[in-house]
Amino acid sequence: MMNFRNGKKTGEGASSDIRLIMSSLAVLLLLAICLFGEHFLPHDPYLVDMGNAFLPPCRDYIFGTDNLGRCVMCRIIAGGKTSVFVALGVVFVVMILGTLIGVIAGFAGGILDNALMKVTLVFQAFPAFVLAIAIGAILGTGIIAGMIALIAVYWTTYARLSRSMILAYKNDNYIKAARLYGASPSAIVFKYVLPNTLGVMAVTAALDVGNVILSMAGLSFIGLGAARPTAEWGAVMNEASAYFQTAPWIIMFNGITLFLAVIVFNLFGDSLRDKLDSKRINK
Amino acid sequence: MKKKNLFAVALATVLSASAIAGCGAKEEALENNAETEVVESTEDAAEAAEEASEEASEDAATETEEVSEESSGAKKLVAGATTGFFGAESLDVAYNWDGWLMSIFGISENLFRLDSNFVPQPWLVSDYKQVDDTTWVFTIKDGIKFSNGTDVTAQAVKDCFDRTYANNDRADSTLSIESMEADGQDLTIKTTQPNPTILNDLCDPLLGIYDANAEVDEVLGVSCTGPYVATEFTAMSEVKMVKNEYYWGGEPKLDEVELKILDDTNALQMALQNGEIDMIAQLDASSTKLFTGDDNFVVEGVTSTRSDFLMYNLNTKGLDDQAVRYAIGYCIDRDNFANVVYEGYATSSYGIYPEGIAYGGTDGLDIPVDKYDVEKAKEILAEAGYTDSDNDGILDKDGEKLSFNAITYSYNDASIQLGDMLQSSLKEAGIELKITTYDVLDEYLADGAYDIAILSYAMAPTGTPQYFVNMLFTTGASNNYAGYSNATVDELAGELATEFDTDKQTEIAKKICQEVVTDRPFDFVIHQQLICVWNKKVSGVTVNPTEYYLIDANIDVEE
Repeated sequence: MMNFRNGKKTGEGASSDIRLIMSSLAVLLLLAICLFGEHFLPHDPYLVDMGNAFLPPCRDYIFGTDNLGRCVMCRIIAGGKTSVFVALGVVFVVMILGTLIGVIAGFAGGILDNALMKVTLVFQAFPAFVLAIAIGAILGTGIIAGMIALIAVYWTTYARLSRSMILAYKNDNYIKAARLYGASPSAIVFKYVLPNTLGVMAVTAALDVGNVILSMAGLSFIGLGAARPTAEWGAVMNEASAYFQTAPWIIMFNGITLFLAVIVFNLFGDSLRDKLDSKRINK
Repeated sequence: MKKKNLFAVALATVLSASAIAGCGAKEEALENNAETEVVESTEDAAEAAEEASEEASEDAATETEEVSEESSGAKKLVAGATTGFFGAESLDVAYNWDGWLMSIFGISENLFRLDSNFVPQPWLVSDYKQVDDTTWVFTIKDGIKFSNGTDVTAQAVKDCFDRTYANNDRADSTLSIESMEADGQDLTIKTTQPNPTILNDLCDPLLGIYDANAEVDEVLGVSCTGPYVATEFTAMSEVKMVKNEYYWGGEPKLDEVELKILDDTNALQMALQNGEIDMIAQLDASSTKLFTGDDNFVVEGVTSTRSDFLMYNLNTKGLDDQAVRYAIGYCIDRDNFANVVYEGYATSSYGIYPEGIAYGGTDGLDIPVDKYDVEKAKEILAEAGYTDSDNDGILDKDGEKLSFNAITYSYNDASIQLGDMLQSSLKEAGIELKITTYDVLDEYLADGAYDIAILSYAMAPTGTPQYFVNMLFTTGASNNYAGYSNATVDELAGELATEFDTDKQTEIAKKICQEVVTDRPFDFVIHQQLICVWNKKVSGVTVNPTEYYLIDANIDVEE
């Protein structure tokens, strides 16, 4: 899932700044549409209106209507709230959970480290999406079940990453100094270690949002994850797949939106990483 | 630089998107595989995947075969359907529901056959007579042979029934036999009680005729009398057949028939569009418009007895109130469901049985719900004392909210859409509906773990009202999960069981319908059509409303 490229020297501070600003704006715009778009919708995304079923894109319904006469655009926007915020929620939880486990393992060392890392390895042993499907299938349909399935799959990256960083920093002189001054382990972790890992974690998280959006849509598409009539991109595409020959606009506009959302988050994560990389190099 | 980077990210995203999409598709394929091979669920996923790829390569091989066969002039029909219509687990008439599928395949035949008006017509019998209330004599046609060349005699039919009754529990409830006697071509059947519907019962494909004295082939099952004989069979996947050289009803027009199961309806439609298959049986109504405007295809639908209906759990607070059930009835947009979701291949129902059957339709019935009218539903609920005391949009009375859990089949798009439509209109009326879907509903229904079930049942496949009355309407009936009990219905059902006069049967059935439509433990929404589509090359297809028959000796393919 992760696709770290080798740290790249850009040396072009200005251009990476512009990219970061542009992609941040795109992310903010997307979030704003998802968050507030619902209040400006021309139609109720859940209102069944059989008289208007299967309308192709027209002036009243820019993206057309679906099999139950619901406005496709409204459902995409309402679905965005579900899809994007579920992904943000999953990434937030895995970041906290994974980092915590990694920090404990890295700092405690010994048997606890060994045990925690073995658990991590067990989770990593399975292909991520297959594991998510298995967990989702056990938990049943529903957004919460889908989120738990994805959390179970995504936390390992953060655990391993934070552990390796802790191991790297643990023996640095400033940590040794803090120890000498009698700082408690928790103070060392929260005051000195974690702030150092934050940048890398943030980049990883930003890059993961796109992946999680896709994974959640994937789960919903195969019938796990969001349940009807919840407007969620994957679930809507699942419903629309039956009509892709007769009413292609339903699945097409959903697919395009999903694609754009993932691109926006990936660009943001990418430019954030470039920015942090160049900072570190400049140091 | 910037452009290059953007391109790289875009490319990476597309690749990862397609990787995940590919992964999803594969999983789905695995899932489908797992679903169709429940019996062999011990197989691991890897094996299933391997099989899937093998099947794919086999398919490719078949295609090349087809080409060579076509050039050699053999007439071949390739038809496709979903598991629901072609999914046989074996080719043994007595096993589970496989007799029904073998009848569809054109492999097995019965003593009687239902015509398109659900009237039983002699099929393998030349003559029959009723000796007394419980004794019937059937004369088997001379000169009929099983596909293995053995003669079909009364003794062979008796042996066949003996084996079926020993192997399938459903047989006894289909037709209760006390004793049978065989003499030449005459088979005497004594029933346990007077049975006015014995001829209809003998049309049930479970009572299909096969050679019970020959050894049952592990793969190709039993030998029957139909126009086609299986040469290759893969459970829940495909069957290949050739014409039966001993067929008694004239030479079958096709040399070969291949029936495939494709559960992905998109794949099924595209297979027909690109000529890979010639025919789809039981086409999904929403796909009909792909073919109706196209001169290369023929779409035919006949009103079957299959109905989409609601079953209320009468033990649920709120649903035990007739007023609430009436209000829900007014919130069902039957006409749009029939015309939009079913594309007109269904008719709205305000009564019980479909029109076209003597005891069906609404004629002579006093129907309490006769249209879609949410305002009327609101009035009924207000009159019954339901108010929104806490202003949450959901009506309540005595602290009980009108909030219900609906369950339906996860694979049935139409019933899910009915749920979606109902959810929306009930919300307007002040009733909350939550929908959950399951692959198999029986367990939830039997446990009463539902409030409203959206179901799809064939109501009179054998043409008799008894079938459904005894299955749903009587107290404690096998599928009466509503918990419905009405002494009048029970009494009328008793009368119906032994009434020989068809006019009186109809009269009693109508009385039962009146009781049920008034009590409304079930709400019959639409009556479906059975839809088949085939390309112009194919001729002689008869779509029979019973869902019992499809492939027969008359189907032909133009070369």
